[in-house]
Amino acid sequence: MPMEFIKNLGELLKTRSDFFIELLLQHLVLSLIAIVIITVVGVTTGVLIAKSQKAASVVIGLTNVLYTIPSIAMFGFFVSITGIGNTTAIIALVIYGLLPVIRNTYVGLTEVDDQILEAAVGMGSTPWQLLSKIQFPLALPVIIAGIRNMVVMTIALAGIASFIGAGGLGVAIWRGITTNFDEMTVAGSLLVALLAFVADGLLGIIEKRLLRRTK
Amino acid sequence: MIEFRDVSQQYQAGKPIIKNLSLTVSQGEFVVLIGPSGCGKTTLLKMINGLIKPDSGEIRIKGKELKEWDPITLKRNIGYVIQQVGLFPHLTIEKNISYVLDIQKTSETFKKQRARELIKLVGLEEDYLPKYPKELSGGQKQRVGIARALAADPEIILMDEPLGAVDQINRAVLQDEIIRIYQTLNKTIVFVTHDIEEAIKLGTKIVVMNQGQIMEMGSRDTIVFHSKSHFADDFIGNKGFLSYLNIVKIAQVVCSFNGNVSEKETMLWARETDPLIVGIRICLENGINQIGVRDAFGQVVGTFDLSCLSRLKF
Repeated sequence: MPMEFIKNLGELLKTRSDFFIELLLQHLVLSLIAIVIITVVGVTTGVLIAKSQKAASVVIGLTNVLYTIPSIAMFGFFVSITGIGNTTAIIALVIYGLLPVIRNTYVGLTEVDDQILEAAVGMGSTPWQLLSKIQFPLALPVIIAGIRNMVVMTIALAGIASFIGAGGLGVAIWRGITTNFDEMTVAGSLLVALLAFVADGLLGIIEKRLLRRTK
Repeated sequence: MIEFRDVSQQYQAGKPIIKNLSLTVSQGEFVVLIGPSGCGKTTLLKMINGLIKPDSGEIRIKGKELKEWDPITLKRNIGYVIQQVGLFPHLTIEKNISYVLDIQKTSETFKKQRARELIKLVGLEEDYLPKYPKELSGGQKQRVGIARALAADPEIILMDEPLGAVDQINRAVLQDEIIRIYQTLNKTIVFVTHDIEEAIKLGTKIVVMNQGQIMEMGSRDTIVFHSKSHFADDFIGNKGFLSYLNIVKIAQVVCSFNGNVSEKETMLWARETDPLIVGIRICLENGINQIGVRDAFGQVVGTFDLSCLSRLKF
């Protein structure tokens, strides 16, 4: 039975390869758009709140609360505002992904050794030079770790996005479940996992390179 | 070069860190600020480059009031070495040294050349330039810290307990290096320490502080022998005296040789570059009153005995 299942699975992936490649690409594009937005918004927010402890606790508190809302509820909530489709999916993915990026950017920046900052200020760095030449590069490993965390999460979560009419590998999973077609469900899930795995590996390599230089 | 007039500073109301302090540092002086922790010496140092602003009073740097200086320009014009070195761990030694030049957008070729010059000046090889701070020992890091402070060729250099984290042996070596650099470059240095020996060894002017005020200041002679302050006397004490004997050279007290030639045969000798303590030790060890003094080439320059010590001119 399992052998037969695996055989069928291989057969399915081969015969319907066009279908799966299209879904994979959709999934990739959907995740990538969300990842880019999250990175830009998250890192910028993290940098901005690093200057004020008060703002930081408010913003991080808020993203923490958002993070605790179950994903399916979040998707459902946005459907009632922005309708079904990719836009809604991206909005929900962005809201989810912000927390790890904002938090890690903030923590990374504020945990840079005071002595190092004092040396840089004492030598006449402008606030921008302090951030761009000292603080940010030193916080980068922590920020990358947050981004890595977010990327895997976003790719996985994008699988649920087809429940609200967005494209991606969730379509295959959803179709498999509704038509009682197990091979289809497993094929979709496997590809999502593979995508997340590869993305994580690539970021891991970048992270390692950065870590080798500092510390 | 640096002038404090009636400067006060407090972080919390009623708890002053600096109280109505006045101090003048002239061009080419090596001023050491010393005192117990919390006496305000580091605060005083950080006021010079504007890291801490005074609540009241006037500070003038190179004749210009602190308020008239652009805070960034002022900091770039003053070299700064801190206690834990504070090298940037993500930058190579070369980039660390040329950081001040980098933030002032100096040309690449000049930065390269300057880094090369400075690494040699502080007694390290060029091979260290592409390395990262984590690959260096504590003493080497501190040398790089000093090179970094010298990069923009500032007239004033501030050092905040730069050797605090360096072991005894390396500390003595680095102190000699700092003296050598000071003498070669003719900079004005303000140096904070809590180590009495270090203060006596390095300073041309030693400032003893307590509770935000100056208790005593002057040359090492004044500080060790003629202090008018009880606090400074107690604080410097015999430890200061011992380091004084360790630093002042026999050459300063040598008496002319007026014995006969035959005496030379049996005499014990010291060099004029030896510190007083060596001469005293030879006398005590051998139970004698007088020893001969030679120069670095072996030529007889005179004699040393305890009565010669009265030749010290304060």
